[in-house]
Amino acid sequence: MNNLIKGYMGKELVVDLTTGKAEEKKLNESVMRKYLGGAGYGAYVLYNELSEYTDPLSPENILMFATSPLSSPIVPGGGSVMVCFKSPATGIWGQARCGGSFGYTLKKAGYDFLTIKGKAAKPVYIEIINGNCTIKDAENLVGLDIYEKNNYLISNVKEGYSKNVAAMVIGVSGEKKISIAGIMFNDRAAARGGGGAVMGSKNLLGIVVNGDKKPEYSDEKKLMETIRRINKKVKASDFCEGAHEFGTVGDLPFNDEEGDVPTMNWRSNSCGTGRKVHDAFYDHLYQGSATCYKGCPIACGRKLKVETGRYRTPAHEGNEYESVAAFTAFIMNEDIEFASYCCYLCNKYGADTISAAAIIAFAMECFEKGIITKKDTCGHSLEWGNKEGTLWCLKAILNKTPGLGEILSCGVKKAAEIIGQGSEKFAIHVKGMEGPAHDPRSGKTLGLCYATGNRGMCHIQPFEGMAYDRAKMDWGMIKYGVRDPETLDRWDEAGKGKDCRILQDGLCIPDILTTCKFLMYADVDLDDWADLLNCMTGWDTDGWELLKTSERIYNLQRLFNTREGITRKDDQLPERCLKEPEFGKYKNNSMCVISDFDAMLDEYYEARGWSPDGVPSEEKLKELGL
Amino acid sequence: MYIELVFTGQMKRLMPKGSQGFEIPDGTTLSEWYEIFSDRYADSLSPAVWNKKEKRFYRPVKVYINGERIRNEDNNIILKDQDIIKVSMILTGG
Repeated sequence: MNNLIKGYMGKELVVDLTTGKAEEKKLNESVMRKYLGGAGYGAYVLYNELSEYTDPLSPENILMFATSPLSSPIVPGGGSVMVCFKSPATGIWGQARCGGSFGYTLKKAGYDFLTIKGKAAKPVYIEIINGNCTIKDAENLVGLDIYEKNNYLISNVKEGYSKNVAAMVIGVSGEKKISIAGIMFNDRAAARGGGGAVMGSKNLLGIVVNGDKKPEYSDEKKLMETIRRINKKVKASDFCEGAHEFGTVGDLPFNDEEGDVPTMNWRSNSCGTGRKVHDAFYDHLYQGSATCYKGCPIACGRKLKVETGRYRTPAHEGNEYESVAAFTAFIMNEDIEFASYCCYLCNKYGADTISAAAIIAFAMECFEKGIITKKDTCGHSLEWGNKEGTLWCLKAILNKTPGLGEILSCGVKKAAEIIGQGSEKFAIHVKGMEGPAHDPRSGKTLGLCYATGNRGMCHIQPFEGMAYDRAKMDWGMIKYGVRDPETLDRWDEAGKGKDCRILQDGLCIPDILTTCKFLMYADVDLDDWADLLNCMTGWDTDGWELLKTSERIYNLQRLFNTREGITRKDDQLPERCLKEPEFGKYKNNSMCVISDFDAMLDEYYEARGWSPDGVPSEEKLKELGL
Repeated sequence: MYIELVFTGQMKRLMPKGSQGFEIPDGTTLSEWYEIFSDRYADSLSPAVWNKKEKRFYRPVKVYINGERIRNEDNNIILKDQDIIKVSMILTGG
């Protein structure tokens, strides 16, 4: 074992699908210390190697599967991989995390990073076993769903390597390059931003990895002690017990009551059916908890099955809070079996459930307003909650069916540009990414998160503002200058720009270390991550240095976006997020209104050291070593 | 006898601030205490966490007595003097 950098495999594999060549690149320790891995190293490579205005679906785009030293099944939350790319959904920075064993199995195959460039002449998949990369024909996989592709890759892996093998594939939606296509690890998805479309544009249908290599650690004994200490802490946390027992779906009734469930294409922030949907989920569909990788101390995943009836499904995972809320409240559906079936279909086709449901909600509003008619829908009604219409629309999007399906498969921003007739007003997105199932009208910090997030309107990247405002979570960030949420009202606006800046940086650490963010909900703090990193690499980092690293990376991703023309004009919220809900529990509640979003943005930019137009200042870039 | 009620996590924001003391008769069971609790707070309890009809907390609210998790089927447990009942709900993720 002679790796240059302890904790890392020390190598990036760059596969050029145009030439069919694979090249190993040695990692540089000073670069790794500065960018660590995951979304950090991804930003470093994509910023430096892509030029502005690169077409995300062209061979010039880069698709990177990134890990870090912490990508390991023994590390709490270490079962993740970060996929980085220029997003076809937004045209800006794209990243998507996926739970599962792919990340650490890529390391067993010999690499910290897998970078895909170019475009294969015909459909292929990549097999990487113990440092040997083979590009294989995949024409027989075209049109298969993600389960079939996954089974093929795993069952045809090099002899002797079928045990603990890991594969990621795209579905039909990825093959058709729709902007909401994800990259799937079984039922888990690197879903948001259209990474699956980028993979499809390269004619790459799957990647299978395995091996028996392992990194050298600086202090293995101390590492095991640190892991034991952190695991104990995680298991003792209230979050761990709650998430294990109730999953994220457990939040649904409460979020509904709190005005945190966007409803009817964001006309309201409460659907009033959260309790009913939640109880039906647990009473009729729930089969047990699930982990995305063996060894997770939390196991927030839900396994479920619709046993009988029109919408029956095999046992599957993936019906988490976001997906369930999206396929119920967004489109005014109360039938959990139908919602689960829609989620299952999205998995099967390999697509983002959040965006899929958001697009259907947009289409339903177009239908209500007469902008879309039955002539566009093959006679199907897209009235709110109409199941047959929803199903037709979903399949049309996932298959990119010529006509309305093809238009909607571009996402709400582009679809509204094509459809026109005022539909832009109710196309709910930021920078082209559809809004998820949390509502900034339940607490103001989330509004800033949505407006300024580097990948667009996302609840989890970089952090969940509503958890700070409503659940009073501080993720151990008070020592870094975040105000104690217990002392703040969820409706407050002043001061949250600075809080948001620090929390964004802190909660980006799991994206950089490719760990699950939920570990920070379960009391793992920046010093814990630093302790693990030190045991692995022999470095002497701490929470403060990690925070500075994260700030550097957040700014680098912003520079990537600035280069694409992103400024203050793009850091805005859809009008509906700023106004009183039209109906529901919070109708006419003026507390929901963000009274001065400009002031919040000014405060945020100042805290970031950015110009009033949202551009990182020279001074800030110098301070961050950029 | 005297028992104390403590709210943690999101429940802190939804429920009355700080610890709440209850003077209750000897031999009071947890389900009987729920009646007392319900009477005291009446309509101020959020319907997202409190099942008004059945007078119990909804999942995912968790109830602990002296640090030990109590499930719905344990509602006949008899409370003791100085017991601390903790009511917790920490989720909001995903």
